[in-house]
Amino acid sequence: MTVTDMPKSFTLLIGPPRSGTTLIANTFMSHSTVCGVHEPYQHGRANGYGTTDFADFKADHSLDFTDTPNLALKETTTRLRNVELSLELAQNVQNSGTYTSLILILRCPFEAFLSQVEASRDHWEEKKLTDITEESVAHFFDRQRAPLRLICENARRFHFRIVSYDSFCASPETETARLMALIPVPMEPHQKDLMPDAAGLALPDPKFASSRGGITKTDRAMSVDHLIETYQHVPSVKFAMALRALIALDVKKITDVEKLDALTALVL
Amino acid sequence: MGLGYQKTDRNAFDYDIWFDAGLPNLALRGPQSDLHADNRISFIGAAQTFGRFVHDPFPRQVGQFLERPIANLGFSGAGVEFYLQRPKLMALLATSDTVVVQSMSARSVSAGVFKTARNNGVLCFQSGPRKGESFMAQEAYRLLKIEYGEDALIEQRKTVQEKWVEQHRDLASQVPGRKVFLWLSNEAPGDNLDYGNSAIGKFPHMVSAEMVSELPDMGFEVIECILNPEPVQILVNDHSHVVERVFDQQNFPNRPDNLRALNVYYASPALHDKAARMLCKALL
Repeated sequence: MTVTDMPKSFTLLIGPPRSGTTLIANTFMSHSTVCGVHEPYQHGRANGYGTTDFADFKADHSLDFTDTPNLALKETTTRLRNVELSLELAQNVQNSGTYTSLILILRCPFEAFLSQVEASRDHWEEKKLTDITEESVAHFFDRQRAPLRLICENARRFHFRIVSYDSFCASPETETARLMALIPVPMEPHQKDLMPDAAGLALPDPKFASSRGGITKTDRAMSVDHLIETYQHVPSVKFAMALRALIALDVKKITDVEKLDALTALVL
Repeated sequence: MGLGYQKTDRNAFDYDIWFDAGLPNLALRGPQSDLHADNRISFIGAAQTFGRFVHDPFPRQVGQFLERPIANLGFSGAGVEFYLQRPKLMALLATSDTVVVQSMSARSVSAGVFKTARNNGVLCFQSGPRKGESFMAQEAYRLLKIEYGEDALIEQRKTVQEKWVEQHRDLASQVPGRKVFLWLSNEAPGDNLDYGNSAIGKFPHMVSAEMVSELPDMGFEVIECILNPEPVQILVNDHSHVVERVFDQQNFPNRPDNLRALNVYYASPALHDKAARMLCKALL
């Protein structure tokens, strides 16, 4: 590929499902210099899509960097394979000489779990996680560990940032500006609107509605406490509790590097 | 400002730029810190305080060594007037336990023929045939010498030097806490006034020993941190670890090829380390 076939930067935004990845990725991708691809491996899983060759990936998604020279890819940790492919693609892009970065998006795992249950019950056609049981709780948190471990093992290959859903909701403007500075480009005023793309607006899932010009957080504090109290004997819930504590640490007291170190120790 | 450094240097350094809600549009050197923390040491200065081309700038080292909160308020090309013109920054300084003021160039002073523009070492002519035109400081002073004459240059230097002292006095009067002036250079005060190769001399440009000698009466403790000779810093990609041509042909067409991967201007990691040690000793 020639130099003009490559973006100026490539940013992988990745995090567990229901962790605000869509909100934060939409905000990031709404910058006038950024073009974005949402969950290419998750959406293409039925067809076995797994291209990590960047020339093929660019062609598959009709990417053109003439007006939007910065490319962002959003994927979740729903499937370990998606994470493997995303990281492999990022590594291939970096090997070609393009500046490559990673943004790890995290949220209190209990809130993510409850959000997943609500979405599955009320909005999704595929009713996969509608009941809160010891088995479903254990399964949800168990599935977090391996993808997070893979991300931790690879994040240091790139410049990276860690952003929590809560800190983003608390300070969307400064957090967006911080993330955009990774590329780096200055935040644009319209990014504060937190608007989803047109496809998102058409979907019933409230996560898109909540990002329509602002953030309306659902207060799940009591439900989270109840969940922890009920299932704290489950080993993977202990892991989730430690993860929750780590995510909640004040970003002004712990650097992203230190947080990644702590997360690595937790998931290994 | 800091975003520009991040853009140019990003393959070699990640400055972890962040923004504070109270200071929108000011790109701060990371990692994030509490700018209002009790007992904090605030650092003001230019690229040296920001920490261009170093992974661990001296403000952060001081905070770690002394286990005290710090606020790195260094911005590229800043002079004291940059802070004096921003009430929110001055409020942060006024409530700091200690303020460390890095030696900033007198070229970053609006006075006489020049007004600082965009706060990145750019000066705008305010009078004469070049009125309204902006240039990087070194080029602006070169043009002043050639087109306005040697006398105009000498007068300009005198004017910005007087203004520099006046601005430091103004700053000191608004900062009730402990004040430390850090002379950070490869040259001792006075030795930097070598105008043989440049109309503004060496960093900190046009700041004389006499000017520095006036600072104690304003309440500053003066620390001289000098490293000479300073080894040239080779810039290295922080992931591939191969030499990184930070100053590429496309964006820096006039830079000699043999300097594209070298830092020959900004404070080196060795100078930062020395400054941190000297400050720690003074602040203990």
